[in-house]
Amino acid sequence: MKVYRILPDKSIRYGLIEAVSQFPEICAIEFGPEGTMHYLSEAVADRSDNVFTSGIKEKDIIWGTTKILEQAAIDADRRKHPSYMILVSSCVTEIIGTDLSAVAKKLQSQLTAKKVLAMDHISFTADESDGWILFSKMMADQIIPELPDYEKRKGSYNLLGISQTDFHGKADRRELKRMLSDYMGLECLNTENGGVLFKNLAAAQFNLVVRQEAVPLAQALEQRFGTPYILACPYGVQQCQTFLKKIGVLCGVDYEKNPIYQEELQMAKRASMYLKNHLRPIEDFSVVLHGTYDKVSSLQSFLKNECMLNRICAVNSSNFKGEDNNIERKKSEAEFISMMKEKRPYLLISHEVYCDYFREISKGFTMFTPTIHRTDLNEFAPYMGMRGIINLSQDMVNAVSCVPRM
Amino acid sequence: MNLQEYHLGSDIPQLCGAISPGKHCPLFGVCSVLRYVDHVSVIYLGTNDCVYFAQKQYLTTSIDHPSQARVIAAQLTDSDLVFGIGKQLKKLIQEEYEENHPTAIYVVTSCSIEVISEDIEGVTKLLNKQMPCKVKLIKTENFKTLSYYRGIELTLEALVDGVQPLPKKEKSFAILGARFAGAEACEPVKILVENGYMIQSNMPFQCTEQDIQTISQVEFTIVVDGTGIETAQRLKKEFDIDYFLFDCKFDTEKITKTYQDLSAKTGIPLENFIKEHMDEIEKKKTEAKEKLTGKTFFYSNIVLYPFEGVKFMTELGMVPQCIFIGTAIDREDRYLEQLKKTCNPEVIANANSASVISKLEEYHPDYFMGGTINAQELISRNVIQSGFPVMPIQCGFQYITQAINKLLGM
Repeated sequence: MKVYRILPDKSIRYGLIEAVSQFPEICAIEFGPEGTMHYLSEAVADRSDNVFTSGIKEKDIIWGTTKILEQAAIDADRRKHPSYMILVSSCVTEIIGTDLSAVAKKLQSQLTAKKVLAMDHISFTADESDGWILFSKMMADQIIPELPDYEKRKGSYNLLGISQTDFHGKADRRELKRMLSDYMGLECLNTENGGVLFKNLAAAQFNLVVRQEAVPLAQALEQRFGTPYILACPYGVQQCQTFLKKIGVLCGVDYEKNPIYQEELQMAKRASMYLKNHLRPIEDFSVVLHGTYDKVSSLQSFLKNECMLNRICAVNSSNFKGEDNNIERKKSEAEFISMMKEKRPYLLISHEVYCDYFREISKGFTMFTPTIHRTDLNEFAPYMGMRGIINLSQDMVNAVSCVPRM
Repeated sequence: MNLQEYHLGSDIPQLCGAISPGKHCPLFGVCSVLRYVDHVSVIYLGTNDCVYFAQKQYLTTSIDHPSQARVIAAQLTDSDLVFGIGKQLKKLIQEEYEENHPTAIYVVTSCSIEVISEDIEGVTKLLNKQMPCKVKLIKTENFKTLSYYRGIELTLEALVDGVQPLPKKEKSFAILGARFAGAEACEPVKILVENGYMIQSNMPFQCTEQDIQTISQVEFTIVVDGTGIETAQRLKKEFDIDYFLFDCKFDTEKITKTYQDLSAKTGIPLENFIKEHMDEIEKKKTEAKEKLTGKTFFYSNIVLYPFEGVKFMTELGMVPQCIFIGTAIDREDRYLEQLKKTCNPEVIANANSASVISKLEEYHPDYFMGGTINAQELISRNVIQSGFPVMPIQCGFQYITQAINKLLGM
């Protein structure tokens, strides 16, 4: 039994549903009580039209019947005409041992979906990042090899791994698209709400991946269609420059003389410098960064290499294990609490709940989900990318300057 | 399924088996109540999905009315399924008492715990005897009921469990079923307070464990929402505390009778008050009939008794085409049977908006009562959307008056 006094981790199903929702041609149906999907719907925000629950009743548990799931799959197939259908187990059906693979096999002949897949035998302690990986691997093994070829569209790309519900996630997606369009004239193939279409997976010139958990999917696309991928989560000037350079080389675009790029680069540099000049003089300045692997890795690099800050402790909040040795492994809640009490950092960058909980120890800066009372309406205020540097610097300076340390 | 085929308790068919996003579960009901009870500790026990959202729900209380309870999430691991959790839970409860000395510890289990059938009740009953504070189990089983109201009922029952008889305190009463702010200003409560009565507790929105333990002192209870009825009945049975039901929001006959009973109990003269309000309501109803007779509607209000609500609208001359059943369901079949005599609309469980849209295409109603669909979908089909006031904390003649005003303003 894991005990949490502040907030447990997001579940594997949260990550799974989040990842599935990016692909509107896939339908996922959870076989379980309605309540869990009601809660999980927060993971998909405005992309909820391809994830469903079948509900489950006491008699289904007692008799082990799956009719309610089969009917849900048939109805979803009729209504949405998905290319692929994924049956997802819930905690309840994991315990009673429902054989979803057998149900998938049985349903195959009754549905128009090309393939019905089952996702079960899911660990109870896996977290959101495991859900993303599970989905990426399923895509890589079961779906990508089957996708048909499409004519390549030069100068186009897919954004993979962006979550609709990340704090500033929508704004970050918009900013990455804008930069690549304004600086290099590249075309993002994602739908308006970030969805990815199968034909575009085949047609893109490259894929831009913003989280490591989506790399297995990008690798499978590289193998199947020869589409290269770039992994980037660009916070700060240096990382933006590296990111743009990689894409410029890949697409053969000379963007550095582009006046929009030049103007924004200067503005971003000034903002970054302002942040540095503001943070460095603070005598006991230290920071604990606590969040998902890629963001923490990138932010740490920004604060260390650009803001010249030395006392940074970066802690991974997910099960995902990356290669960055400067990031501490995921800690239990009790371990994190004692670390905070011991280090007493000047600034904590984490989700709103932790920032609020540790407010007597550190000033808090919310950069991750979940948020409780904060809203994230502004799609034009990113933290990633060139304009993101300006926002991030401004908000971080405000967090440090305007909120007294208790 | 049509109304004529339906009986209270029948399975209501889903229009579409693929449900999105699904209804709140009883665990939500428990969370929504317990977070407001002062000086207690709550242990949510279940799998990651459940305990994450339960704890988050506790955190999302408004800044104006911050949560009063201490909440702990105990997440099941794979090995717990094999080796059990009894010992760990016992230790956790004991540690929580030693650290924080709460007045009560509530252990709330979700579906998965009920499926593995571990004897958690044995643990809580034993500790309840051994420990100086109350330890009580609340089981939530989403697969047994689709309504989060069940969670609220179970919690209220758990709260009053173990209350001991006390000498009566004159001119005191308790409010039951209040899940939102404002119960102290609702019509019957206002009348009582103006006549020198004192609110002993406002359950569950604003109460402490101390309020709960002394609830047996009150002369009577005022039930402002259906979720408080079972507790009121229990208090009547155990402590002979009379109760007055204001759970039906549109039934003027029932409201009148309840006020008459309350008047008899308290000696507060309410005849003129009743007459004035009934006259006003009748006048407004006549006005509404002129506007609404013959108009068709879909009913999709999820928090009021659906058949009572639909019957009220038929009294205004409106014609129901589809009734979408949400969280609440009538507790007696009176309104259902009366409705069956006059109409035969479809009865459907609330499902995806796509399913609702398909019914809109089929029936083309004039009005859509409720808020479970995107307003743009209705506007594009020339369907007028309206809902009754969404905070059914109001009761007595107050709610129905506001409801008719809203219908007249559509």
